[in-house]
Amino acid sequence: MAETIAPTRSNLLQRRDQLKLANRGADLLKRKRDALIGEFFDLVKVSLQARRDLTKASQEAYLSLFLANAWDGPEAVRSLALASGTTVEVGITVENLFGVKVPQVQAPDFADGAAAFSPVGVGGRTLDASVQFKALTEAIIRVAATETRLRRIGEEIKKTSRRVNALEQLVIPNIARQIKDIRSVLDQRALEEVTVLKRIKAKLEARDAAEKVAAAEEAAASA
Amino acid sequence: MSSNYGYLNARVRGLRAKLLDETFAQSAIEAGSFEAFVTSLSQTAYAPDLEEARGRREGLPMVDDAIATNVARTTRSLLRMADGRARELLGVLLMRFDAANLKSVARTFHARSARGGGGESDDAVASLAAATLPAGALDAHILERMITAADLPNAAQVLVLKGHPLGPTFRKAVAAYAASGDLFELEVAIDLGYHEVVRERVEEHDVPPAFLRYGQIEIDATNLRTALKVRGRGLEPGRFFVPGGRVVSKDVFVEIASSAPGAALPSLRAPFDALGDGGDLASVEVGVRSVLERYAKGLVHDPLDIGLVTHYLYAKEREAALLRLVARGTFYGVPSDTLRRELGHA
Repeated sequence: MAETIAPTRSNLLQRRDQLKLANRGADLLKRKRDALIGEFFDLVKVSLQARRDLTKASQEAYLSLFLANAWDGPEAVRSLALASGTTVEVGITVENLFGVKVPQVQAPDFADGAAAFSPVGVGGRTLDASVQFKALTEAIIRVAATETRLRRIGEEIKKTSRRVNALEQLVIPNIARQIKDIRSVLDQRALEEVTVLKRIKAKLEARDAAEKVAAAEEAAASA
Repeated sequence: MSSNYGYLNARVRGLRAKLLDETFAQSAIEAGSFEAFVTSLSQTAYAPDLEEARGRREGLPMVDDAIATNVARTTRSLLRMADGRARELLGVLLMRFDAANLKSVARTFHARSARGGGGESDDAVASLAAATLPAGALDAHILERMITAADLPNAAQVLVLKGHPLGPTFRKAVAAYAASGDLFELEVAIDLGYHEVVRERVEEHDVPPAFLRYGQIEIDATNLRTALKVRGRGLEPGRFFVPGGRVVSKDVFVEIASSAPGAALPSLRAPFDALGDGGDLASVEVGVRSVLERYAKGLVHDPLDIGLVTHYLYAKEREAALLRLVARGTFYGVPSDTLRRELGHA
């Protein structure tokens, strides 16, 4: 339902300010959206590379596990798995990107946990599988990190686009229409005032003319 | 102590004749399907083990189960066949299975304490059974008694009471672990303790020179592999050196272990002189395996000593690895070229 606004000059001035603000807001939001889209496409490249790395790391890890199970035996592999109930600590910081809070995930450093089992007895293939699976874990975390950033930025782009559309399609036309309506009413009123004044003026002039005629007639009669 | 090597070696010759080689593996790869491989395997000496495993599992785990059962059954029957000195030396040869199983016991207890000490003992027994190959003196029953003990010191006590040669080593390592909680140190202590016990046992017996040479080359192979595994990990390398080798001295070991990952190996004396410049573990592993194969083959000539058994055990493990490789390859549909390339590393 359209808002009823008193067609006053103060409302007109207020609406003009609102229109200026809405245009500036839409412009800012468009610039934010463009910046986010730029960031999004940069991140898409990183994300695609991370996915390719994950596929490669996954193939290498599962091949190495295949070979470890074959050469060192599934018992040896399962035995090492018993001891490796380690938790992976992932560092997460929140970064402010054009007002959007996006997580920045640091891939874990497995260097400290490398000495989980004795190097004397462990099979070479099993050790290789363990290294490859650590690389796979890193690749998974890297994909998760980039894709989470990508999703957050994508959501923000959608949100910003909706706001820009709302401003451009609804708010700005609405204010513009209100300004037009107020101006139309004010113009109408100004026109009416002019007409009334003209009519008063005509009446006054007619009265003056009548008075002049009457005075002239009176002067002629007295002469 | 006398030994009836004639009887033992005659039986081992019979077992050797039944070993499956690359020809079997190649034909299984050519057959191309896992089902065809299982059918071929069920027509070999693995038939009873496969039948037994079929009741417990299916697919690839069934084949793994059958292979493990076959290896354990074979070593047990060898222990039954041997007597006197032959049995003691066979015990020494099979002790590495015990060392590996003891590490599995330790890892199970460590994992349980890391989880807060909870967990059903049935679960622990099942996970230990899946992580052990009872092909040494410690059978599944003893391992189960160890894992159902209240804690690791009590499990060590079970081992000591059984009179196992690794008992004192394990108990000492467990005592240190109880104070520190450091599983890595416990595993290193078991590995180094195992090699020390083997060296003492070999020194106690008047072993033939070829067998001694093989043992020394095996220690060299272990040291070479360990040096490459330690490389670039920031560990103090000297403590992982196993004394008693023939070619790889402690200085060479430390030199390899301290070099950068991927760096070429220093020039080594024969028989490791053919390892080439390749400094990665996988290529060295292939070279070391071929040296060990050559030395193991050199043991078969003396019919009245442990050499034939030593070579048979080596060949049996190789056979198990080949079968696991082909089973996995056909199960997962690995390209035959990749499988053939891996077979070439055998």
